[in-house]
Amino acid sequence: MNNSREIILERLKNNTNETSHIKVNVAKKTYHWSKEEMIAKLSEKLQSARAETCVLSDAELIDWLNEELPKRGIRNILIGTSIAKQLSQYINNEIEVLKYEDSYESWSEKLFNETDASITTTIGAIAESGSIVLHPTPHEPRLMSLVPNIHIALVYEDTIYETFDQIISTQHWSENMPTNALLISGPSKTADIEQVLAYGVHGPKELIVLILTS
Amino acid sequence: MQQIKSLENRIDEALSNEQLHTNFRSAMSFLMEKRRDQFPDEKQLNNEREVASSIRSNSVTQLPELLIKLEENLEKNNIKVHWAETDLEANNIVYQILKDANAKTVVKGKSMVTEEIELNEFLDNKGIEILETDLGEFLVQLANEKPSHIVMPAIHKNRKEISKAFFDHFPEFPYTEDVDLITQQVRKILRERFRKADAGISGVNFAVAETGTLCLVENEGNGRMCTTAPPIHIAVTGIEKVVEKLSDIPPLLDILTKSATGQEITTYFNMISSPRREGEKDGPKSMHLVLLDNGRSKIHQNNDMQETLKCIRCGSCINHCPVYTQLGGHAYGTVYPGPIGITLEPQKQGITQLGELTSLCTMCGACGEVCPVQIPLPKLINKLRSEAVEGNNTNELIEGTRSKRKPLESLSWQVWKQVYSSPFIYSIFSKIATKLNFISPKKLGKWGKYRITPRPSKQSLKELANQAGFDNE
Amino acid sequence: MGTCLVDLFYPKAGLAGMQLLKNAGVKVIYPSKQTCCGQPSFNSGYRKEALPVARSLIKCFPKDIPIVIPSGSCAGMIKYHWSELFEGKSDIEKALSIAERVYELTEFLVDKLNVELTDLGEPTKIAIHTSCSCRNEMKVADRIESLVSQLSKVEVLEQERKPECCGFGGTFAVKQGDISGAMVKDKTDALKATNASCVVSQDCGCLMNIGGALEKQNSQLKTQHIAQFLWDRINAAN
Repeated sequence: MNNSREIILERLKNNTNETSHIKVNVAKKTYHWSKEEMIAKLSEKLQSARAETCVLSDAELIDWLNEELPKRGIRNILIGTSIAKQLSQYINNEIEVLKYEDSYESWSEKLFNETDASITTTIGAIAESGSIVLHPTPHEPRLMSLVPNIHIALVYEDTIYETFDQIISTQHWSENMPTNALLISGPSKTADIEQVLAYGVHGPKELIVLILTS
Repeated sequence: MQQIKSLENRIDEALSNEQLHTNFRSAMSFLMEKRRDQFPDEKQLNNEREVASSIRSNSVTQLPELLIKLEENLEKNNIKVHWAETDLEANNIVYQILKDANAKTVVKGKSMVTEEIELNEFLDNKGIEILETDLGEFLVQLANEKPSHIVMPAIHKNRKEISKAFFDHFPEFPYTEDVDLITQQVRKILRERFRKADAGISGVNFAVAETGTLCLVENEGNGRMCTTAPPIHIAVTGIEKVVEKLSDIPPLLDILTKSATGQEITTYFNMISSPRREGEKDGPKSMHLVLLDNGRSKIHQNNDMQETLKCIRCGSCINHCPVYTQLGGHAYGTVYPGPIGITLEPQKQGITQLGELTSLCTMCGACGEVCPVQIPLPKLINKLRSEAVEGNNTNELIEGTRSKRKPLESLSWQVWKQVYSSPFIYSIFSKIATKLNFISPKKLGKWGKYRITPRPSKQSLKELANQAGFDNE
Repeated sequence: MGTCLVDLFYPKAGLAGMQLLKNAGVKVIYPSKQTCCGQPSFNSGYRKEALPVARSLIKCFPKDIPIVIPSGSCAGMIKYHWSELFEGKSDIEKALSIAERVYELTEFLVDKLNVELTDLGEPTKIAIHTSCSCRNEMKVADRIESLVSQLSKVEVLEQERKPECCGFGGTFAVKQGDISGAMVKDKTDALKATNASCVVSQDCGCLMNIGGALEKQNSQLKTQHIAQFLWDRINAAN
């Protein structure tokens, strides 16, 4: 195996071509959107991808959850351990609060087959493409935003960026990449059968983005 | 790849299949329109292509340095890097990882490079169950076929054909042609497989050297399932997929998704930089990246053809190729079809075996116009044609140069050259052709099957010009 | 420059092109010794044979004046591919100086001469086929549209999948005859569906392909090179 490495690199280095470093002129796009415009753009894009969006104040969040979860037939909700404490005390008793406390292996069956919905925070959103951005952590593991049929994501209005490039540079991603960074731009979908769109293939069938204003 | 039927037979079969023609016509028109909608401003599009092209040119010219850096940063992130010179080596590496972990069931995301090395067949022979999870690939696997397009693998199948294959395999489900219902059933079937799989295998869209990050695009979520749920994740990639910096990603991602499926962005963009770390509760416990050469380093050494390696596998050239639209993917008999296929495959597998593929092109130039990274595909295809018939047959960089030179054809061109490079001889030829135009051939090979055979005029332009009083010098 | 195809198969189109230029006040010279740009063998991979043919063409155009060609594919060959054909050769500069001066006919009529056309013909409906070389290589597909739009009694009908290749591709039509046949069938189907009475194009290769197919199909749809079409219209020759 080591031998292959040397063979391959040798061939690549042994090139008569001048290995000149080509200057890359990446034009940084800026739209100069106001906060309202960012929220509008983000919502519009997400909705066109069949995600649901709602603008709420911090205070309205609990009411929204208590009203909407039962309405949608959600019997339990998976919450990350960092915000679980805060939220769980306010959520209606009929709705079971699940916490991702132990490793995935210990409860994968319940996660896959019996978890109706999850709620996660985000580290931001991108208005241009209509994407929410997640950096999963020990408190909010990766599968939270993938396995349950409904994923509710909390986006703070101050963390909405215009472009992907902006969030990468502003948050200094290159200095410290998380184990798994995710851009999510809608519910799971496919067009593999006669190019007809179908939703909820493997990832969540519903994505609900709650944009929180302070 | 076994070519049981000859190219000619496969072409005949494709052309006589009306259903195939209809499927591909509608699919290609759909994809071309979707891409057009994403690029309303031509000037802006060309700027974006310039940027993407320079990023990829950088990747290719700096390839050895970037691969070393990538390896360094991946290993720092606890992702084990393996180098495979050949397809067999890559398959063995993957198998060994699975064997060491006693892994018996594998779930797999869509990956053209694993098609290239025929990983599924290899693992199958070793008694490991490997299941395609991308819906298109899953359906193609059910029908025991190969994908016919690099981005939309089941594009050659219509609803009826898909439903039949699905319900033949899963008779426990009620028959339906409803796309939503089929999709839900596939979801149900695959969910348990994701949960229980011993390992997940994926490709890589971009590998970032700066941060040791593997990036994957997808819409369904199966890719994330394969790379997150099972305890082992093995990623396989061609060596050319490395990019230098994280800041290179946004422009590449943007032009990739818009060119490939006409989407501004895919549902998920997955950037993996590590297996499960201490304290984390999910993610694979171990991660591997297999760097595959399989002919790429040889292409790299060939300065004339090196740009082939800039490809980001968007499939746009394929979608716009009028020949592909007529043939579909299977007729090519290779993993990569269309313009990128006829450029890449003869270089990888040799001209002796695959030189004829370069004839599957009218030089219309549509591919070169849409390639997001500005690969001059028509120019490269033309160069391969030249290598095939008059190349230097001691050329070590491409196998089979000059092997397609045929005595009759080369003689014809010699004669043509003699006539057309000598104004004197040409003037005699022209007199004969015009005055005796009634003896021009009735048939010209297959030309006459579809068109009337043209006949030279009674007078050449030279004569007419002269008669009309135009100066001749 | 006439082009090899025009010289033997479409001389009237070539003549019409020259007459249009003369009409616009240009002195037109038709070097009698010209033959071919070398494209047929170049595209088949036989570059060594293409070179002497191209060289004989260079000798015909010594003066530093524009070279106008009634063909996008030949113009494209000289303008964009002679650099490759002559790479490393001692006379590359000469070849490039020719390449610099080359124009496709409609490009020259519109960009350099700003021709104004008065339509004296009967009302008619036509379709325009833009060749791949004019569209993708020379980027002059819009010039034929612009010239036709000046003809007040001509209505242009748009066929489906207009930008798609007609399937000619030079030797492709012979080497991959069945694929080419399938492509020209799709193209003629689309053109016939417009109910136009004539198809015009900047390239005779396409015309030979499309026209030949239409004739074999016993279609009433005619084909004509744009030069001839324009010349007929401004002289009320139909």
